[in-house]
Order: sequence, then C-alpha cells, then structure tokens
Amino acid sequence: MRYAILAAVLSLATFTAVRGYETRPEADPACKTSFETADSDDAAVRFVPLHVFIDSGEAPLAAWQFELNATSDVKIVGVENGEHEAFAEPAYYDPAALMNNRIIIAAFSTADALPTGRTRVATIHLQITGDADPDYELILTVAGARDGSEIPATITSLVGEEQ
Amino acid sequence: MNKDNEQLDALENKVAKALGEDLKALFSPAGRTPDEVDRAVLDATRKRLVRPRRHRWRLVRAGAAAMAAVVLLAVVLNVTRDHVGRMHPAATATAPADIDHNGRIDILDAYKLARRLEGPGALEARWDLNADGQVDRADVDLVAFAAVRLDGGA
Repeated sequence: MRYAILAAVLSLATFTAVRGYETRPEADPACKTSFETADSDDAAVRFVPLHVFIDSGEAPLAAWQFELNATSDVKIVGVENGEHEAFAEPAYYDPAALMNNRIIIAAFSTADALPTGRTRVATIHLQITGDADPDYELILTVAGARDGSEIPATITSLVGEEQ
Repeated sequence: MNKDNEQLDALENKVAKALGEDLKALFSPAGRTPDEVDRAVLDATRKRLVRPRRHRWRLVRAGAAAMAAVVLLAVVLNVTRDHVGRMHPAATATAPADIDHNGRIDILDAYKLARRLEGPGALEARWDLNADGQVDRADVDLVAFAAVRLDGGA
C-alpha cells in the first residue's frame, strides 16, 4: 500500500513537472515575456494592411480559397472581409494563424449577385518587424463558379492603405 | 596511636577485599552462552541484514510502478489531447468532408454542401458531420473549417 502511494506521488510529481514545462511561457514561441519583447522590439514594429484580390474574369466568383505564407518577421494580426456584399460574412480561417506567418482563408456565397472581374476578397492586417517590405507568397488554392466547378482565376495583392 | 593505626589498616583491608570481590564479580566472564541464545542472535542478525535488500527490491518495484504509471499517464494524456483536438469543429470533419470526392477538402466542398441545403434535393445522412441528427449550416461550417486548417485539413 505504501508503495502504491509512493508510485502515485511520484507520478503526480512527474506529471506536474511535465505540465509545468509544457505550459511555461518560453515553450510557446508566440508567447514571450515582456523582457524578451522589449529586447526584440529594438527593431521598429509597424502594421500594414495587405489587400488580396481575385480576378475570375467574366465568371461570377462563388467561392475562393487562398493561402498566405510570409517570412518570420511578419505576423498576421487580423482578417477583414472583402468588398463585395456577396462575401459580407466573415471568411473562414484557422484562428491558430493569428500571430503566425501562415494562413489559409476561404469563403463562399450562394447569393444571386456574385462579383466578376477583379474583386478584393480580403484584407489581411500584418504586423511587420523591421523596415523591410513584407516578404510573402500568395497561393490561390481554388476559385469556384456558381455551379461549384473550378474556374481559372488569378490572385494579386497590394500592401498599404491604397486599394 | 599504633592501635588506632592497626584498626584502620584492618578496616582498609576489609573494605579493599570486599571491593575487590565485587569488582571481580562485576567484570568476570558470565559463563558460556547457551546455543539457543547464539542461534537466536544469529537469526535476528541475518534477518536484520537481509531486510535492507528486500527493502531495496521493494523500492525498485515502486520505482518501476511509478515509471509505468507515468507512461500510462502520458499515453492517457496524449489520447485525451487527441480527443480534445477532434472535438474542435475544424478537426471533426476529415474524409467525410470531401463532399465532392475529389480527394481533397477545400471550400468548394462546403459550397456544394451549402447549395444542396438550399436546393430541393434530398440530403444524405453522411453529410451530418457533427452527428447531431440533421444536415444543416453547422455541417457546412465544419467542412469549411476543415478546408482552412493549418495542420493539413485542406
């Protein structure tokens, strides 16, 4: 009986130690102490919007999905809807993407009125460390027509307040 | 005076003799120890000497039990964590979320399911991805979240 209790106590101690290690702030790269933040903030931090456009030509755009991969000095801090009312609802994305440099964003609309041509589908707000321009890659995963078929489209972006 | 000295000497001799006998009795060997006592002492000594080894084995066993418990705990935690992960809406739908069966999950799967919800066609039970007994917008959201998952859902 004594040894069972001893085993339980040892297990609990090990579990507590492991959990303590896992949950300590240093274990999460996105979670830095104020000291580390102060150190790394020697370089200037700025926020810029990244406007993402999809051009589906004459075909109405019913669904779209793209992926953004940026360098480590870029962090995604927010996602804003596009300009067309068909995509007024918030786009889908993994919340884990926030404060990271990779995100997959997608949306669809079953509305009658769908955008054609070049339309701004989303604005991604970026936090950039340093003075350099953000280095990122946009990949259009898929664009869909009203009937659900895949359509050819191009994706472009613009950094800054101007659209 | 001589008489007093003789009396004192006699008394001193008497006391010294008694003291000597007492000391002799006190420090003289107490005779041979019986064999039974020897054996009993030997047994007790052996038991005392053997006990720490048993105690050590018990500690080893307890340590092994603790290690096994830690491993078990880790396994349970991993299973639990995996289970919690599956509870996330984005993680609930994987293969069943491939609505159009083209081998990948993307927003078109969600779109097609949404269209089916709005259309007159019958809804298939396999589209009830959250297993709540009905195919509705929540299932569409599951498919869409699976498409945008960063850990390989798409």
